[in-house]
Amino acid sequence: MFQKFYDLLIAGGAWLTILEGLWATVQISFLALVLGTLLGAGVCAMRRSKHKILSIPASLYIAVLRGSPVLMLLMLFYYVVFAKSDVDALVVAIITFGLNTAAYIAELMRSALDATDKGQVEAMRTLGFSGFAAFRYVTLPQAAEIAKPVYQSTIINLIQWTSVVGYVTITDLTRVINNISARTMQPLFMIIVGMIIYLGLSYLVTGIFALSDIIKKRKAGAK
Amino acid sequence: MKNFKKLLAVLLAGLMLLSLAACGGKKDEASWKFGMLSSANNYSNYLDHLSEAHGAEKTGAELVMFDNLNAAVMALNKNDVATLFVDKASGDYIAAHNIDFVFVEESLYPTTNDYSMMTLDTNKEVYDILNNVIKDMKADGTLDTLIANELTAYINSDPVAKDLPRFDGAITIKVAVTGDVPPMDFVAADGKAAGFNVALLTEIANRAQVNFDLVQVDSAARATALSTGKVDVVFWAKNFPCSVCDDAIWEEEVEGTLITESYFSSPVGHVMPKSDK
Repeated sequence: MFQKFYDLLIAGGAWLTILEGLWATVQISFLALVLGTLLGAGVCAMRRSKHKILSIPASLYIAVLRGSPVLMLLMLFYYVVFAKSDVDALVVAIITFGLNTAAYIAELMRSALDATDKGQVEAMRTLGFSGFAAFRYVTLPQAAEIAKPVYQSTIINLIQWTSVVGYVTITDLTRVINNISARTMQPLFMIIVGMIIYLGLSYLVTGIFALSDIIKKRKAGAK
Repeated sequence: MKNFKKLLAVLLAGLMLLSLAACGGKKDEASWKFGMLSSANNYSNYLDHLSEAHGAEKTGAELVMFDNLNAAVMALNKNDVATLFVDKASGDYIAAHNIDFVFVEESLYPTTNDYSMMTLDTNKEVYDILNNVIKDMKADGTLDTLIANELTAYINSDPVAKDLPRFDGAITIKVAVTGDVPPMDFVAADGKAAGFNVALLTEIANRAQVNFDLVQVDSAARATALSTGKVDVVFWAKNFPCSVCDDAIWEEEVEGTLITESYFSSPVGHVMPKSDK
């Protein structure tokens, strides 16, 4: 068993290759999340707008991006939209996953904002605070708290969706695992190893969120 | 209401039992399932010939296609397919690396798996380079030497990947590799593309003074990569009785492409669990 572990995961620098694959997965996930969050906030703002000229395109965006499989979108972007350009596959993947995640994040932000108590904002406004101040000090902190768990699972989903980037010439964690299992003809063992690594990533995300909760509680306690 | 809930629970439990039974259900004896890689392209009547050759008890053979060798080997592991139909090179590789399997050559209906390269027909320049070098290598015996020296080494040991030569100012040809078909095409432990195909490309590069860029892509996206020009060349294996060995069939079948002369032929056979031998 130990020998197998060494032969498959360590020998010949295999562990470095696995780390490289993991790095590609982390890079795509992280940058797509940043892009998705920024874009998602924009789409959410448009979606909540009273002007139809803004809200209709935003709903359309959410419907299309959420309703189409991300793999198809990825293939379409890499092999059709960016076919003639020399844009790196990694960049195309980040854009695709960013756009896709933005649709989910826009919706989770909207539901979180809708769930806050509008009476509090009205109270702030009567006290003479600006609309922005009311949003910044009353709505946003509460909405963020509501959105947190959903945001966390969106991140975990995003990490797992990136496992299809092998279709656009990127060697991510999944591809490395597949490559090793094809070379060594031990697919079962390697799939379990791959699962454990992805699971580790998910727990890392969960851990970061849990840590932020702990820090927040400490701060609240210190006051 | 309470009774209704009880009834629902019993029904659900029954359904679960049923689905469990269906999962572990007895294999249908009459159908003889065997697996094949979708990257090994088959002559359309091939399955009929094969199941005819294997006699009445195996007629109604069912072919299960797999996108990659990993999935195929796992299906074989859990007896989803009785055998895996691959060529001797891959079969020997699987048997050499996984002690649970053996490779047996197909005796009743012998055919070969022929390996070529494919370009788009708009890319005649690249096609000519590849095809001419392969012809030359066949003629002067270097190809046979290469097969004798490199292929056995790739099957029995875990060789390191070699870097392809570089020529300044020469044209660069992008070649898709999948890492899915050892010993022809796999990815070495250090993450570099390796295998017999890369050894062949090294030889071609030296002869024709061209650069090759290897693009690692999932085998399911190979055709898309070729047709959209993201790569210039894909490796192409075909499997059919040699009485109808005519590349024209394939060029018609895969419209808009050019297929080089085959650089390697391997007899096909079955990979199966050791106990079935």
